[in-house]
Order: sequence, then structure tokens, then C-alpha cells
Amino acid sequence: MTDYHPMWEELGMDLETHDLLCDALPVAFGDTYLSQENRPENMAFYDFVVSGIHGIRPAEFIEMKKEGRKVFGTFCVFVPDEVVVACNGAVTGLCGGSQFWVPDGEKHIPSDTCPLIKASLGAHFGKTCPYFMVSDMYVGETTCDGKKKAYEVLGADKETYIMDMPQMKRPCDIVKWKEEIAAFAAKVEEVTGVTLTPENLAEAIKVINAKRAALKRVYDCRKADPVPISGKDALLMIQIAFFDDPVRCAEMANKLADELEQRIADGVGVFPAGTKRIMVTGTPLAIPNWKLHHIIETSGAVVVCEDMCTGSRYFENQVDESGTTLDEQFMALSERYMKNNCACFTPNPGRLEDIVRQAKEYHVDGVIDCNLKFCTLYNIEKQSVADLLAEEGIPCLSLETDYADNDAEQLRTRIGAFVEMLG
Amino acid sequence: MPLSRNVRCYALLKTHTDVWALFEACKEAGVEARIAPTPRQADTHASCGTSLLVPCDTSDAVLALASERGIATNGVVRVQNAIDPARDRYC
Repeated sequence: MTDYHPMWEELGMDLETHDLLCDALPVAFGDTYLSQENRPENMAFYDFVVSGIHGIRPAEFIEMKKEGRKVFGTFCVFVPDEVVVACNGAVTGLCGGSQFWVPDGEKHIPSDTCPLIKASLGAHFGKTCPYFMVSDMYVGETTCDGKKKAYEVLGADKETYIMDMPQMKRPCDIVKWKEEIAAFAAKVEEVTGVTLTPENLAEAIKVINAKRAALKRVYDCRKADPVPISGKDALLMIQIAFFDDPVRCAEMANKLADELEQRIADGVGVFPAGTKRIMVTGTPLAIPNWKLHHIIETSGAVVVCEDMCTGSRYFENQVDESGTTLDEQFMALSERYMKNNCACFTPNPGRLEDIVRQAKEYHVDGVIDCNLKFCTLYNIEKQSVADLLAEEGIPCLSLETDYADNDAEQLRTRIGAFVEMLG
Repeated sequence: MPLSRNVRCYALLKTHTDVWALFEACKEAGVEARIAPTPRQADTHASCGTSLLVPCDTSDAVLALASERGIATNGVVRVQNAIDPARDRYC
């Protein structure tokens, strides 16, 4: 098989430690994904990407860089990909979803920081993630205190541009975010050497809108009963979307959606009709964080929707394509991105409205609200979520976990009891 | 067709493009195959590499198909206990 060691070595990676991660991936992916029966055929593409996740896509980025293109590593759904794509750059998500990277992160930031942040820093400083290594620069954002301070630590080692996220959603905050996008655009122009124009930005807006539309088609299929795709597979599609070329991402998601729509027409599902339907909400599930979905789907239920950044927040709401000046386009981008109901906002009634709306749209029987340990924002919002769902008569289970395996049995017990309670 | 619970067979190929090509060939020929990360037990040199997971009783057919299409392989390797959904070991 292709030996990526020379490429990783050239990137400056710690090969010996990285090989330990490569040891763990086949087991975790096999147990979680390949144990499923009757998966959609078009999941083969996503299996292919995961199987070569630290080789195939990083190699593509290296080829882009040889052509003079720049790679921007991002941590959050608020960073507008459109601006980078318009300047002929590439955007990639960054590693942060595995316990493997946590110990290296704890060498640089306190252990009572959320595992997503610790893992991200661990992947960078441990030199065990090719996406960090291949990025020309990182783009952070002020969506929580932990990330804000972590970016200072990261930025001391590699250029990290920070977008200052408004904390409220007043009209002046939409304008403020538009100004942040304009400032980011100036930075992207400087790094890429490409001038942003209304024409190239308009084209990029269309590309990213098409990607969102394709991902939404797949999610819409999950509203059916029987559901034609498992929650695990839908999660994998979204996780990979953060790393993939946006045009290919749309093409593959549309192929998958075609198949799922046919499955619905044929009454084909991956779980029997009437299987209890769960919506998951809370902190994002960065690849390869599959624990929660796997436990739910091996406990007699199916995940039909994720109200999270690695879920519907990634593709809901399109950017208005009618702007003809950069000023109008920046405003359109701001308006779309500021519709994202992240827990960083105060107050944040939009998230509660999203949860109830999606619970109805996806016909859910229960909601699992799960946050990563030390994520104060989502942890505090749990009570509001539970109260509102109680008012709506929708059962809710609140959980807290991290990336370690050692709470799997406890989660299994609690989730199993919750599913049983759903009747 | 359910795969055996205890033994899995992995077809090892030279490159990831060969993996995709053989996967497509299997699909066309109606031979079951799934793309999978290569377990270390299947290839001691495997490191985040890609292979094809095939039912052990069709491994000869898969190799024949590869030969017919001019796709070079490193054979099919049997791996014990490769997949266990109750193992609860994550990355």
C-alpha cells in the first residue's frame, strides 16, 4: 500500500507516536462502522477517506501548495470558508476528536480544559496530525474562553489569526461580524496573494451553498421512518466535510442523497421502522469521536439528527447570493453565519428554538444533550434545554463525557435505560 | 451477506487508488467488498493505510478479479477478532 511515511517525515511529524494512532484507528473504525449491516453503498467513499485519512487528503494539500496555493486550518464553523475559497486557498478542519492527542495537550494547557481544545493543541505540539502540519496558518475564533487562551499558546508556535466573535445577536453585532469578515478577507488576500473580487467571492459563495444544500439533502432523508442511514454514517459524512474539497464534498453527498431517497421510496431502512429516534445536541463531535453515536445505536435506538456544529449547524441557512459588491457580500455572509446558534451567545434562545423545531421535523422520540467535560457554555445551557423539552413533552437525557473509553459502560447503562423508558 | 464474526479477510493492495479500483471492480462483478483501514495484524507495515475487507470465502474470486483488471495485490490476509461492536474501544 502507499507508504506515507516519507510525506509525514517531510512534514516534520513524530512518526513513532503517530504510528500508535494508526494502530488504533482500524480497530475503532471496524468496531463502530464496519460492524453495521445494510449500509448505503455510497458510504464507500467515506470509508475510503477515513481509511486513508492521514494520507490521501494531506497529499492533496501538499500538491496544492506546490502550485502556490495556501491551506488554512480552522477550528470552528464560524470561519467563512467562502473567503478562502474565493482566494484560491483551501480550508481544512484540524484534528481534535481523540483521546490520543489529549496528553500532549495537557503539557501546554491545564488538564481541566475541555478535551476538544486539549486534543487540538496536543495534535499540534505532538506533531501527530498532518492537517496541522500542512496548514500554512490557523484561523481561530473567540467562541469560548478556553479556545481564546489556547490560541495564544498555539499562536506562539505558529501563525494563528483570530476572528473576534460577537457574543450577542443585536444588529450592531451582525455589523461587527461583517467587519471581522472584511478584516479576515484582507488577511487571506495577504497570505494567498490573490485579490478578492465580487466575482470570485460570488462564485465561492455558490460553491459553499451547494455543499450545504447537498449535506441538507442527506439530513432530510433522516426524517423518514425507517431511517435509510445510521446516525453514525451521517455523522461521518459531516465530519469528513470539514476536510474535503467542497465541490467533491457536494458531489459525494448528493450521490449519497440520491441513494437514500431511493431507499425511502423502496421502504429500505438500516433499522426497523419504529426504532426509537434520538436527536443529539451539545458540543461538537470531531472526527474520530464516534463513542456516543455508537453506544446509542447499539442500545436499541437510532440517531436521526445532530443539533450541533458537527451537524445541522454546519449546513443550515444559505448565504444570500444577490450581493454585487464586497460590502454587500460580507454582510450576506455575516447574516448567515450569525444565524448559527452556538452556546457562545447570550442570550441564546435560538438554540432552544432549533432543538424543538428539529425534534419535530425529525420526529424524534427523545433528545440526548451531551457536553464534553469542562465545556461550561453547553453545560450551563443544559438546564434551559431540559426545561424547555419538559414543557414540550419531549424526553431528555443530559450527559457529560470526554474522549476516554472508561465511561462507556456507564453511558451504555444510562442510554439503555433512557431508550427503554421511551417505550 | 453477513461476514464471519471471528475471522476477517483483508485484500492488501499497493496504493489507495488500487483499492478504489478493485472496490469498483468488485461492485461491478457483484462481489462483496468494503473499504477498510488496514489492521496492523494484516500488515505489519500498515500505517493509516487502506485495504479491502472481503468475505473469506470469496477471497480467491477477489484476487482473480484483481489479476484480470491488472491490479497488483499483496494477497489476502486473515485476521482474528478484527471487528467487535461491543469492545468499546475508541480512538
